[in-house]
Amino acid sequence: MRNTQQAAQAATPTTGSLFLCWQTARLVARHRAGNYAVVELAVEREILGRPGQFLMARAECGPALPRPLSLLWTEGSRIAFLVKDEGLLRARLAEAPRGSLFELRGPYGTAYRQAIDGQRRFLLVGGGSGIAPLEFFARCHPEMVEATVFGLRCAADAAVLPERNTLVEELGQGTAGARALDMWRPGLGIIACGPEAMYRQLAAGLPDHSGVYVALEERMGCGYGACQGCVVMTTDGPVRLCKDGPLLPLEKVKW
Amino acid sequence: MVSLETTVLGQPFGNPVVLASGPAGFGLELSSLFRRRPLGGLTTKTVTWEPRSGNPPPRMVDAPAGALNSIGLANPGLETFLADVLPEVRELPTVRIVSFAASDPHEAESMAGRLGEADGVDLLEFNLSCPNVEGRPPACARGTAEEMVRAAARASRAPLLAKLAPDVTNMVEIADATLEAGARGLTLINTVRGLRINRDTGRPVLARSWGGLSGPAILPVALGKVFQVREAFPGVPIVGVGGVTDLGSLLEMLMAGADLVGVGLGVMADPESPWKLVDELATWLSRRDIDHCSEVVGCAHRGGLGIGETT
Repeated sequence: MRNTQQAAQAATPTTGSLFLCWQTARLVARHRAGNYAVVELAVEREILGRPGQFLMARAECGPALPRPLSLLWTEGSRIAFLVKDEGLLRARLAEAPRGSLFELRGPYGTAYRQAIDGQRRFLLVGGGSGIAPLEFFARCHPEMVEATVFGLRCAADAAVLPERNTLVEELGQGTAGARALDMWRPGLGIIACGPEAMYRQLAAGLPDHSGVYVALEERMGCGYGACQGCVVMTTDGPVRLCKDGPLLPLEKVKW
Repeated sequence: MVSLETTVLGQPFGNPVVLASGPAGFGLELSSLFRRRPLGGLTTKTVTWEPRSGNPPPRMVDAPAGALNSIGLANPGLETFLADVLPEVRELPTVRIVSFAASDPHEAESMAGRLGEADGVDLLEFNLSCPNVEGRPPACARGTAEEMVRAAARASRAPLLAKLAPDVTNMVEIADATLEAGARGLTLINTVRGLRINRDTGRPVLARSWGGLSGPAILPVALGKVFQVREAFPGVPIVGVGGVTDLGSLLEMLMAGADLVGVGLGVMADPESPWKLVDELATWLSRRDIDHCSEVVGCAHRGGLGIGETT
């Protein structure tokens, strides 16, 4: 396991303009399993991203707008993503030969540690690619983690994170959500990142929503807080997921 | 030494590249880039009389060679803009074009009056053409456009640009009406109305179904409108907007007749791109021994650059 503690504790480099500038990243290693891949890239400038933050990524001849990708870890000049092989950019990350070039900028978004109640311990509940930021969080803040409950669609997918016990999540069965509800006890927090159905399941099953946080997803434009493309409505009014999110208290989410 | 400078409606622009209204918000997220290198100008997000939270999500979806947005003029409203946002915008070392929209002539008059006298507002851009709010945009009917602009122009101390919609039968007629009513320049074009369908659900992707298309996909549309209006009104300043993301499209927009060129989707994809375009334009001009950028502006109407084949 990689030591990501140092990166996690470093200050977020939001001063200066570097986080707005694209840099070239070279695909240096990949571990594929089922429909998923852990993709490692070497970057020119160190990216001091923290768990829950994301980078904007693009490739030549890709879509007109870049795509947000959550960090799985960062270490010096290496970063990693966990991607499912769907969509133009993700499929290319999952399939392109080693040495392929991509472009990255960031990090963006509020780190989970900054968005949660720091006095609690948490169940990390993830589904699919949503596992990435939670895995990063678990590595950086083990003292805050009670347990991880990660669901992937099949046993082949689960081999993408061999160090974790992942559940096989049949479509529509809510396996990970149900396990999380079983494990939850009063006082324990939850950080969830996965499909909306999982959040609804948690919302319906938990008697108390305080200390429960969900990572929301919307189509993103700029990634740096200007265009308002990724705004969602909350009880506090509109929120930009790229800047003020993506993690929000469940009680503030308007379904 | 190549000169990129140009004066539009009395405002000195260091170069002809400006941020288009919308994607860059109020420019504040890009302040570090503004401080590092100069950019011609900044057009703010459109301000309305009341605060607006915008349309429900999804508000954005990809399109071939572009993107469709349905933000819906989300903004903090006039009072908050003047009190909290403008003081920060004023600090940016660039020409500030403040975009506003209004729901009727009375509101247009009040908005233009308040904004036009505010410190830090160099030019006003009247957004008559947002495709993402209820009702027909004023720019789609000659009479409404004329009435709105007349009210705003009467009240504003700052020169007024009218931002027009491409979805009209006769662009020249609408342009004529707004100029007649007191607009001193034109911003062409707003996004093109469009729609996308989710193939899994069979329903429109955007929550409000319709959106505005931007990006390279609309470049030829924007070029056509700029060319047409430049031909009809040779002396009227034009801010050309629509699909400019690289040097080639920037050059075409200038050649079609735009005095200033706005970058919209380009700044979402690459925040540095407007600044890169300024450098690339200077290099291109200098390689061709063109001393002043104004020699390129509108050259398509004058038989071209007059120096043989262009790139």
